[in-house]
Amino acid sequence: MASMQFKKLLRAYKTVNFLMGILFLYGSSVVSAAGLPESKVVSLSHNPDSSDLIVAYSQALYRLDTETQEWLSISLPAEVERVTAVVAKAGSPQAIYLAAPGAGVLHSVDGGKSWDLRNEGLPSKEVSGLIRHAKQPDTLYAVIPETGIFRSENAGGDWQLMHAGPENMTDIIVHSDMPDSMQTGWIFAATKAGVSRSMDCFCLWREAGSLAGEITGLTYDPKQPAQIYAATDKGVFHSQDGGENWDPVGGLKLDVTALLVTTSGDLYAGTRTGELFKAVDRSKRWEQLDGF
Amino acid sequence: MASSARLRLYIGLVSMLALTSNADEGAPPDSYLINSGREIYQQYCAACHGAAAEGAPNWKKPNDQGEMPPPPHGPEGHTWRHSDAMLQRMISQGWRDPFNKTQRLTMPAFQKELPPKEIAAVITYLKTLWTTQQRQFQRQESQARSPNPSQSQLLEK
Repeated sequence: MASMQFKKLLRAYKTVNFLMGILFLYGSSVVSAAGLPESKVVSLSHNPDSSDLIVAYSQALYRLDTETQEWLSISLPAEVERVTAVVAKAGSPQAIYLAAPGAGVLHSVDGGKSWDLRNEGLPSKEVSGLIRHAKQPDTLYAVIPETGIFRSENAGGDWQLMHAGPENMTDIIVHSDMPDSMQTGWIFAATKAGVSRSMDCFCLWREAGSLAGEITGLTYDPKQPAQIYAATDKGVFHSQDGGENWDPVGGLKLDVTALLVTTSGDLYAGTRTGELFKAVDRSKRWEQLDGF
Repeated sequence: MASSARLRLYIGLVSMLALTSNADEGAPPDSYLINSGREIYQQYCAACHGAAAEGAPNWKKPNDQGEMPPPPHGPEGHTWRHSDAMLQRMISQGWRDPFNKTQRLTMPAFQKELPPKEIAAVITYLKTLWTTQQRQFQRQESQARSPNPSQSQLLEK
């Protein structure tokens, strides 16, 4: 009898140990929608080669399979207290970059199992924004407040200051391969008073249209790179001409803090209170994805 | 094109080795080549960009026709942000700001007036207007976005 109980206990221990091992090995776990944080969605990213979204909250990171609606928690490294941006690397489904003030830029090649720092050339670790180049997987741009925009062309191996950025720039920038740049594309930057735009030579910042107010979310359509989306406290707006003219996208009255258009053309919006929405019916209505 | 300018340009080309070694340190290149480039600049570029390459007033804002005015070429401008290949292409083929309110080229094309090596001489002159740090940055950009042929090869032809 005692022997059977011991065997049961041993089996249960082995099972738990096995599951813990998987959890440790992969640095991530499946969670229910009800378990998602209610804090601000700070950043959304998408790997063009998969249907996954990477959803960054201030203190949590998830991979959302948009086909199965399954949320997978990705463990953050110990040195990260707050996440400000996430970037999925194009062409490498398991590669993720994080921006985390205090830690700087972090890189994982194994879906978040392990991380390494990529801060060579940055004057501080207070990185508040991070994006990827539209077409060059190893080119990244990082924002350090009151210093400017840095560029790395070797996957974060080293960084170079490119420009202080436009006046009143916030932490959100976007690279678009919209044509007619003198270099490879355009940088769109959120400011406290609209969207600013420069070719990615950082030659000259100009106001992109007359969208008023602080920009709280910004993205572009990778298949139609002149199509830009921006969020303000008045809602989400869409430009079809590289930011010259803006029209409202109806239906979402919440505080949007992150926007993303995937390669399949789907528009996603994350909010200050942690909800995630997908625009449907040609952006006439929004479908909530997180089950709150 | 004044014949004396062409003569000085060709004399300047002989000193390309010196140019290359100086450029490695971010220093201004050979004086003959600079003088040739300056003369070509004065003949073809100064009318819009200014005799001292100071650019048009209010060059950061579109003018009444909705076109971006010619920028300065010194440290306050952005010429130093472009690789040799891009500068060669812009001077040769011109460039139109996609947000122009007219259909004209913002920067006219000079390929009919200036062969590549004369454009290369102008670019060499423009480099003298930049800071050491800007020259170093521009040299890195030129190496990263390697042209075919390179600025040096154009000048050697």
